[in-house]
Amino acid sequence: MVQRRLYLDWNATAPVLPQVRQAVVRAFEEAPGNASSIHREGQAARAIIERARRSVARAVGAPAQAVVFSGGATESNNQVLHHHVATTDEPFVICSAVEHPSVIEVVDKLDGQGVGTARWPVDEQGRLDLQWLDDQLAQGATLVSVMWANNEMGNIFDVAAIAEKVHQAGALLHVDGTQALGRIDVDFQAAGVDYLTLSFHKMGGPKGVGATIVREGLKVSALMAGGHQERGRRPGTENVPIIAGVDAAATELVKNLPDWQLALTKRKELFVDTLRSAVPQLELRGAPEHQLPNTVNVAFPGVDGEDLLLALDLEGISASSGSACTAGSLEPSHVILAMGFEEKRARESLRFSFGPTTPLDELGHGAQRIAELVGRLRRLEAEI
Amino acid sequence: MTAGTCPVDARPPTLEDGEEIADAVRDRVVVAMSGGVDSSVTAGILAEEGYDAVGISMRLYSTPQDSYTKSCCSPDDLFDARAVADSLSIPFYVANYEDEFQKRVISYFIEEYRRGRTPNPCVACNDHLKFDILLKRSLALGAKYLATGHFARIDRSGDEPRLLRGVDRGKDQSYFLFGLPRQALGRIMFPLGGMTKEQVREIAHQMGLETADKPESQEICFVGGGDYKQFVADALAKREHTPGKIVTESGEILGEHDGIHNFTVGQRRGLGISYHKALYVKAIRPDDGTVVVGGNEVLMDRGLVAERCNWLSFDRPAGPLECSVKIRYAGEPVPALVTVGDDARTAFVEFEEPQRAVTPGQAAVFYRGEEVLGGGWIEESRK
Repeated sequence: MVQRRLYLDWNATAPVLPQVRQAVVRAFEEAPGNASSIHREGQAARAIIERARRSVARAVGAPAQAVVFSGGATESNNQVLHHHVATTDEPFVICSAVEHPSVIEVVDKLDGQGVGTARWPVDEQGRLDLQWLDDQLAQGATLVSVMWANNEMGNIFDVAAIAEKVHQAGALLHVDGTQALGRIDVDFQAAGVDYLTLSFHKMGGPKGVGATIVREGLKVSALMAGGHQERGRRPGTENVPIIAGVDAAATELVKNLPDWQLALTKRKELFVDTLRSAVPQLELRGAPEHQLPNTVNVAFPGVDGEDLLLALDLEGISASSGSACTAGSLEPSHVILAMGFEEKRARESLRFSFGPTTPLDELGHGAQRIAELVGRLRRLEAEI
Repeated sequence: MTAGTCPVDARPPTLEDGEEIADAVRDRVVVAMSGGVDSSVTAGILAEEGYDAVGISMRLYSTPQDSYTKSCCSPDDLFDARAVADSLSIPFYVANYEDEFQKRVISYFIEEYRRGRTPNPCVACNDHLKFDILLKRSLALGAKYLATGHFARIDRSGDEPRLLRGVDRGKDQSYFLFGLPRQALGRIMFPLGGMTKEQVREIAHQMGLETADKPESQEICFVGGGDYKQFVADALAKREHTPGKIVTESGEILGEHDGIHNFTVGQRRGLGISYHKALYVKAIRPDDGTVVVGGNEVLMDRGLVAERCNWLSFDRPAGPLECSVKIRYAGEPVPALVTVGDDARTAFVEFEEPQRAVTPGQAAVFYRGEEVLGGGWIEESRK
């Protein structure tokens, strides 16, 4: 018996776009060459990569030569942070308290090695205080790392305003744009970003590929040695079919972003409205006025998030809560803890994230089913 | 040989309408999966019988990366459980109960040794973790039953379910289950209770389960390396160590020791004193740290007092209860007369024949034949 499932975990990863799948398969079939080879097969592979580079550049408002492909946003984040520290006199790195672990853990490691660092705190809604940044910049911060949009809360940070302050102080800005891509406008040059890091699989691209986008005049060095690829900035034979998939994803993004945004906004309204009317008590988390149109972080007081998450999965609805440890059990997310919630309340948080193709009617039914389960768990809690 | 051949261990009725059974999904049942062979086979049997089986592993404590122990709940075991669930195509989750386990089992374990008693963490884990919070979570997930790989049976033939001993006497784990809430019995399945360990391994091989040849875990799961004395010593603050004297029953001082947590009633080794005959720990007095020792003969007791009794077959015994009592896991039930006072949670046990080394902190479990009537925690021995 095959259960029809409702996938509401697009911030973890999204279903691959059909155009992406076709592009990847076609490249496997038609471009078997090594992009570094000088023969025709090599040239064909090279052409795919350069085409993808131009598409990504167009999608995020950057010049093509600024785009360096990598193995994912985690790798790109490592690359930017390590490069900065290695090439800066007296580096002082700031990151927000709600960054992805691929930023926070690198910053912590650098801190342990004696690099100056600071953690930019957030308030109970997960918002950053610009005043705090002024103080740190005055104390000599050299790099500020902040995500364009937060994976757990969906909060969108004001990258342009941050960039202005950072540049006034003579520092640099790194932005992880992974969760923003395909959901809101990401304009590298207009926002004044120095380093933009991306992966593409949250918007329907393939996994295992990312990009580091570097402002003109700045450099980024390779994390590893052993090859000249990506102009010496990312050694190793390029994964041509997967990069072909990136091309397709970026092309679809340019073509469809306004429609996707409309579709997401409509879905979020329906989902939140249905939940609100069906669940007596709920708490929407994050900063609603600056939030991704595809992310809802919600707590149902009295209901443990893990209980609900498992029950939902068995009912065919995929959501997420916190982050899984090595063994696979859930820990409260560092994001919600950074927002000042104590552990029990932090554990109540559940994240629902969807995409422009999430069926509207199923989303409405899904919200109803979530409400039913919340009711069941609350009754059970009352009995015990 | 499958579990179905044991009549007492028949599965609870599932669907009302017999005609639909062939097509319908049977009831949802959560299987507590430790990553060992027993719980793997439990999951395999229920999945094969058509239950909507859901595997859950409890993460009870964190093991440091460098430790590599072969007892349950290490990340390796969770990976094994996940691999088995995957091969059975059943959903699998890991539930984090570290806080509860710390509070209900590890702290209790340490506190009992601090008080000069000998704890039984497996019973505490069953009472407070498996058959309490995991059972509740199972119900929260819409399950009708919680299944575990214990070697014990539940007889559902009468009006009320009864807990019975496992058929494999070498493996019978009913001793660890006396504290289950009585009303929980109806919600629990022990599919292995009618089998021998060999049969379980055989089924594991037939099913091609990854864990088929996995060795048994013997030591206390959360004590890496098996040295529980060191574990307790490390956990107790220095000021909580209770050093004292080692004396005979007549008051002769034989030596000193640096903490009562190093002793268990009946213990012979590691006393650190030489004497003209073999000495055993007879009693431990936490107040002044005195450890009383004597020859084998002083270890014999005529009875015991058990506290915090839990009755599974009735609310309370109707009168003096002729039954047999088991006072340690590695022992056989012996005939005894059990009486309770006004409060049925306190039981007075009189052995037919004196028993050796009644150990405060261990469980006294009452049996009538195959049936587990109930049990309690040994408070003290009676001469």
